Amino acid sequence: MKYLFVVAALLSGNSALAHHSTATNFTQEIIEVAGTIEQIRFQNPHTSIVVKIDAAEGEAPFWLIESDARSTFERKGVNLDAVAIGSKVKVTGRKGVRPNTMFLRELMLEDGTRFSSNGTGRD
Amino acid sequence: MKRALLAVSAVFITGALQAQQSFEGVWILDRIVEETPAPLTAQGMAVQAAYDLLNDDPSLRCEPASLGRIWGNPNSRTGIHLVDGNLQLEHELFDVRRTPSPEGAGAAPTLAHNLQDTRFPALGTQTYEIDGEKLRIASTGHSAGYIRTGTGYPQGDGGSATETFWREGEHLMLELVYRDPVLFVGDYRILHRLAATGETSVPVYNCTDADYDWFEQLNAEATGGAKP
Repeated sequence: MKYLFVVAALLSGNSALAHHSTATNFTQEIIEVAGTIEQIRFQNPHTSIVVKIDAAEGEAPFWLIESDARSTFERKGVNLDAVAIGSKVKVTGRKGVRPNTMFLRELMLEDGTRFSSNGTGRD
Repeated sequence: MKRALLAVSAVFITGALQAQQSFEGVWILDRIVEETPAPLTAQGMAVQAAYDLLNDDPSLRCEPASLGRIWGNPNSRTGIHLVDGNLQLEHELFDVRRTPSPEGAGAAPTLAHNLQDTRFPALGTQTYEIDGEKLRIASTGHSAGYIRTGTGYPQGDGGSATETFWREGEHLMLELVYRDPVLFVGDYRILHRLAATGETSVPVYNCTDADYDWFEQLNAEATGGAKP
């Protein structure tokens, strides 16, 4: 199984001061959503991934998965533009203060490719 | 003849090395060494209590909230250079550019701006002096807002800030001190340690507004509801 890690500043002390404060915009509660990638905004100051879930009638179907800046990812050699729109994914992360938002901890594609905040590597 | 040329070259090279100030280079935050809690007055506490992080953070509009906000940002570069004797600071975050005036030169103060020439009054007007091995930048006239967008520490329009830089081995130290007679009862001090990146330039940031309107609109359209 391919295993691609992406280092992010999520768990570092510095993240408390990040673009809009990660510490205050996201809770410590870890949640998971599954759906398809609708949109990727690979940009500064935040990379955002919109995931569409199978929502019940009247339930908001879109989730905003936020992560680090494009420049931070690029310095790790990661290009999120390579991830295909429409891919099925399972995402875990810190639940946001805003509805339907989370801060990326790990994103897993159907083929087993993972993006996480734990380190860099592939197996 | 060769010896004479070598001697002249050595003099020039030595001069060039001496001309390079110890604070010049491209730097990145290594860590916050120390931060005193902001010593808020009752009025300062009231402003902090009114802070709404979901709406009041200027970062959502690609604007720097404060000097503290810029220096505290992880993973972004700052270039500090003397160009023709004039100090220039290039911050990667939000592409902020600062050109403080030399202290006592009587030059008209300039506001910090980005590459599109959007002005940032939150950073105030700035002067600098080089005192031996230390670089000191003083700023006043910051627009009212927030120094820390996580905690909502307020910034008043009657306050001042001093950034003092000095070298400690390979690192560049930065002490940022805010004073405000209305919002603080004493100094609000943050000590940073910066590391050299070895780069010669700062990459363009090209910030895209990080607001949530577009996302909220997506769900509003999908559910037939009004945008919050």
